[in-house]
Amino acid sequence: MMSYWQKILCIDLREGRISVLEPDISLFADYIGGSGVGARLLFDMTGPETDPLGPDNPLIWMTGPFTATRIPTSGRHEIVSKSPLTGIYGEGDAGGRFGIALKKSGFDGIVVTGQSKTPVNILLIDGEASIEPAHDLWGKDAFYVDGYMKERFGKNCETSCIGPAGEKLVPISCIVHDGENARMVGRCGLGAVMGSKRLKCLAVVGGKTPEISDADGLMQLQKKIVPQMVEKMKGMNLLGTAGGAAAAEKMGDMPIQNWRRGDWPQAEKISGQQMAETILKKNYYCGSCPIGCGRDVEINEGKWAGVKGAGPEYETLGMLGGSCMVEDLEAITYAADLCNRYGIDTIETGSAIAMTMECYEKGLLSSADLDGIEAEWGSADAMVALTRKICEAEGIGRLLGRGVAAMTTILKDADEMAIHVKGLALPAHDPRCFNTMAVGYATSNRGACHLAGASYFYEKTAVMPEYGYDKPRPRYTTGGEAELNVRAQNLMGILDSLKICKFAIYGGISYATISEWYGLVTGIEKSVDEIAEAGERIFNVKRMYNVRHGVTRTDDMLPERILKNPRNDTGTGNYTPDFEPMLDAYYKCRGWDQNGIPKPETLDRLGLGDLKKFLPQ
Amino acid sequence: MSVRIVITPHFSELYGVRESALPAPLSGESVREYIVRAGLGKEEDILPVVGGRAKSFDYRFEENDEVTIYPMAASG
Repeated sequence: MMSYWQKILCIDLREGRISVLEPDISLFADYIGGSGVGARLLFDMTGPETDPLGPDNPLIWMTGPFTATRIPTSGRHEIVSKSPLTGIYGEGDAGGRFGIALKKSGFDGIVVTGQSKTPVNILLIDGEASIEPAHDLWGKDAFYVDGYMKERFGKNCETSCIGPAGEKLVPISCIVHDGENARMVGRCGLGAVMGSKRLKCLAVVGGKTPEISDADGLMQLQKKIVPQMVEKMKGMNLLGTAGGAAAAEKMGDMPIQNWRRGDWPQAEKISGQQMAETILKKNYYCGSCPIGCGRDVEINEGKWAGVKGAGPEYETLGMLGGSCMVEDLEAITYAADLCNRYGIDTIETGSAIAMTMECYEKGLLSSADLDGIEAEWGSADAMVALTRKICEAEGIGRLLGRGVAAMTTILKDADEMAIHVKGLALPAHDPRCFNTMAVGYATSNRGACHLAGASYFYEKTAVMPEYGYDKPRPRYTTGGEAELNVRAQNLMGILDSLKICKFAIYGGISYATISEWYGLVTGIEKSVDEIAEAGERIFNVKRMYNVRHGVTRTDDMLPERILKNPRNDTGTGNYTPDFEPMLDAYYKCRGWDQNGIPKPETLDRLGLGDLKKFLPQ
Repeated sequence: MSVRIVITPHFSELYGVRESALPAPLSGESVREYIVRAGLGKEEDILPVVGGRAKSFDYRFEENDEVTIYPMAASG
């Protein structure tokens, strides 16, 4: 199979041992790459006894067969590990340029195990790996680290690093890429896993280009597809993900006041349009991307001066803005910049601060509890101050940095305010707006994730004609939520494994194009159904990982606030999802039993028969 | 001298709007006002672009503007 090196670099930081794993090609054939291969490796290397912050939890960086091939939007990589935030399967995907550099180093991925006694960096320079002390970088922010490595090894050096938050093992910390352009592996607290290994930075320079099967054929296809993608994704180019902020509020998608309210017209003040007219300097393009949805912003004067780098994405605006009711775009941008430098997940941060504001309103937390901060709804000062506390793991920030689920262990009577699934905070898309998201959030393997299925794409403008979705599904269609989620989750698993951006779906990319690309790149033909089956296999191996950790139907639940409290707004009226029938239908569609456990015959069909021994007896 | 409206094929395909069936925008009219007058659809589905730049719904058309209407995707 072309485009794979069939080599994974293994580094054990306990002994400083470096080795190369050359897996059987069937691992790549069955699990594709990226998320799929990472998930299978994690399954085989860990179990319920593995401490996420212990030496036996591997941190796995993976590329895919599309990485470094010039397929549009393929400048991506995946990081997989057991999550210290949720205690179950954890992963994150980032764009930027690191994935391309890693693939060009001559490896498909890197697995880091063990823990160093002292801070270290891993260098992978032109295929040669080494470990060096990182005392001079420990304590520095992620932007500094990237600049430092680029100064040493040249502008083609790409970094995957943690900021001070990861060093302090903050459970909502991230792994940061591309320096001030801040492409984040944001969710599941994987920055803390890296910090637990005392690994500050993985710096890579790579110059090898993987060979692909039919370069001419791929070029011809690109000439046809790229202009279509650019045209269909004009909004992403002009406004980034932030462009949808005002529309999201109108539809009832954006969380307002910790998911309690609807209608918040102030969303227009924090929209992509507002950003374009004020602080936007230029677009940022991930490697191999013709779209450029990244925002490069600057704030040079005023209260929030000093920001230069990545602008806030929609999720950040929704959580630090809408959910906290902060309508000051520059303050949100400033807080997001803090999160980027320290390496902190803005979704978890916004969710924790919104919950804090609700606790403050209801008297569960006072300003004395909050280190003197008066956490009023809409207070930009409070939002930024609490963000800083989280980033520095200082005072009340130590509690907020544990995530909303853990906050309830201290804040009694606050359960209803902690809006999460399996310990991962809901991102800024409301299942009361896009009803397919209800079962999507509930069943996503890493907890509440909007991109594990991204079914809401198909309730707006996206189509999946290979499986009968010729037109977007009108919102509030009754029935079919399960089928759409299964199709979409399988597809997203494939995109995460090939390593291609999910926004490519808005550009018209679906199973058929992927099947064609896969053949041109690897030389192996896989039909649309075979691609979909690989996605199903990948989804099920992650589910089995969680089943092995005790996850069942009772964990596939949404917060009561989402299920029982209508928003009563213009966009959603009094809708709440009729959840249980959706979940029943979903399990049936997946070939799982009514407790959410994959049936033995399902595992056999997917070639996962070896996992049957992990089914509950 | 007038304002011209262009409907992209993708928008037309998604929402069944035909460019030829729409009235021309008026100079001085806001995007928001035009959307209502022309029956173009819901604001949440519409991305108006003038001169290669996305415009807010409060933007008022100027003489010789060419307004291109793209669909607004859900945010990622």
